[in-house]
Amino acid sequence: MTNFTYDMGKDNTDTTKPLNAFWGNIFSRFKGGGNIPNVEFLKLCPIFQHLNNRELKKLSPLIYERKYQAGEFLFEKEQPGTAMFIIKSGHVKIVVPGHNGEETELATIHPEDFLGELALLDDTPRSASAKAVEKTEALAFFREDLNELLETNPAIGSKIMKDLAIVIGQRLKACNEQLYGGSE
Amino acid sequence: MSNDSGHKNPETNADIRSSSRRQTRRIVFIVTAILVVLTGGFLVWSLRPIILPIIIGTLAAYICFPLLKLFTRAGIPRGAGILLLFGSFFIVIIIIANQVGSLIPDEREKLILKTRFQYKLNERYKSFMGLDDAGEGGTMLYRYFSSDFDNFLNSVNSFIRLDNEERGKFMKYLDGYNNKPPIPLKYYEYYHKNLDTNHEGTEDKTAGDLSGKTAEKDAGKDEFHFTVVMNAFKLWIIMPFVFLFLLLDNGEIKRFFVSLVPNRYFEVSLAVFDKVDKAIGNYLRGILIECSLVGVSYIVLFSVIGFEIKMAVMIGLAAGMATAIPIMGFGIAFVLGSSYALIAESVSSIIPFITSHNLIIAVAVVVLMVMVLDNGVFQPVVVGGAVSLHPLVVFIGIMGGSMLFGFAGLILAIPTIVVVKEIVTTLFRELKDYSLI
Repeated sequence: MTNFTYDMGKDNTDTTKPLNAFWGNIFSRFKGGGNIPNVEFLKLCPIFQHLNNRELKKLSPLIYERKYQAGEFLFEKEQPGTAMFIIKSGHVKIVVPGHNGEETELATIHPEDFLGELALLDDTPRSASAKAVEKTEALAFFREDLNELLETNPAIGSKIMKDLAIVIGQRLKACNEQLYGGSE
Repeated sequence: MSNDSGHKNPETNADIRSSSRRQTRRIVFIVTAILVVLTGGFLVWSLRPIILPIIIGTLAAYICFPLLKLFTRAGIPRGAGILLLFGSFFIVIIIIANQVGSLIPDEREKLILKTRFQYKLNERYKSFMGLDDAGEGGTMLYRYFSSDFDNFLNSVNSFIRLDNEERGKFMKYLDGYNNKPPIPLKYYEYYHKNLDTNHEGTEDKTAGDLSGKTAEKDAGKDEFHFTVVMNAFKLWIIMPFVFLFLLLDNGEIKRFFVSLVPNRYFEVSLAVFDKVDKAIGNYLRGILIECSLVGVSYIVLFSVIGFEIKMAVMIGLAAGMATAIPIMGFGIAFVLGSSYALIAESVSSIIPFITSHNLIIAVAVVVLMVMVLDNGVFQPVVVGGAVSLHPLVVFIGIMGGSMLFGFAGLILAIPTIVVVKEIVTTLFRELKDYSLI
């Protein structure tokens, strides 16, 4: 597994990227409490599609906004998962690192797509890494926030869980079709 | 030659530039970190009088978080829940301040307590050593070590006896002063006996003269008390606000700190925040319940063995609070309980064989019973075995806490150490899980 912070340093053109990402996160406009910038965007995510505006406003303060530079990892393979990511802008590659340091690309995630949703269920290690292809903005939703939502606002929590189950079911179905559809 | 150097130089220059940029960045980070640590340390030291109210406000908020969740779950709007908790917090503070204020002995009661304590101590000493009223006779043990024992008792007497000013006040209160009832004559007899013990029999005459002088001092003392109360109010007014703002916080503080974390540590920081938050919350709520249970046990059992209710409540409260410190709580309960047993005039216990002579044994039994209850029931059920500190850490923590913040530091030192320990261990565990260290 490559280490982005120092690998980027080896590429002369990218030495400032991790630093930019760090300061970018510090000085990004603080979005919390009553300021709801992401409500409209969250509505586009299939997991939150059945939430009404009032419910989305309650959900919005639980969302973390992160900025990544090209080459930065959103998460890495084998690390315990704690959050799901929704891509707001930019592109993310899902890659599996090989033994010789080469990466096998599995998919590319576009804006409005989401990834790492299994981390909302448990903290089993990530099965692949997610790497920003370009400057990317992502929204992160933390598992423990979902668990707390299930306790304090069961109506919102159960809607999210139901949509999450549907999405995972659809992905399983698609996976089965890919596996067995070709052989028929 | 010139061509060669023209090819090589740009790469070399770029390498040098990159390396020097990295070095500059490292120096900037180190200098910034040192400055932040020094400024933080300076601020903590300068603002230490308000640290304690902040800690207590934070602890109270931590204890109330689950209640707020419960309200939200029950359909009570968050704002109404916060208002309810803040109102309850204020009422509880006022009740506690009022009750504790009424329990703390006033000047007259302090004088009586000191007089009683000295008289009873000397009386018990004589009876234990087998001495008669004239100080003759004595057990075999006394005959061997009489000078050592007497010297020790004299030093205790010189520590607890009333000084000139106090004697003057005692004489004033004897006939009723400051809207307080007169001191019972029985205690005046004790007072005289104590004077004989001190070999200062003539000083009761000067006491009458001193009463005039102390009256002049009282006006100045009242003013001093007012200033002390105002200063304490100015410092402690911050506590309810810390409590309120922490309850009002809807994750903004956490989000701010997470926003400072580099992307590489984002997920691990969320996991650490969550685990530390849960562990600290559980520990603090557990310790609060344990302290309350231990305090109530002392109040009930001390009342059963015949303590005055007021004294049982006072000792129960002090020992309950001290339960936050391992071992110390039992020590405080025993010292306070046995001190009271020493001066107890009459014991009205529902257990027939407990008298003022064997009350100290009953106190020891009560402390043992509460110790067994705490170790066998309260701690395993309420707190769990998660918190274990090395005795040396406990000792240093207590000493350091009391040196910095007095009695409150003594009580809060161990919970603070537990919180710091939890943060450090969780951080390292998670960093290892994420293969970051």
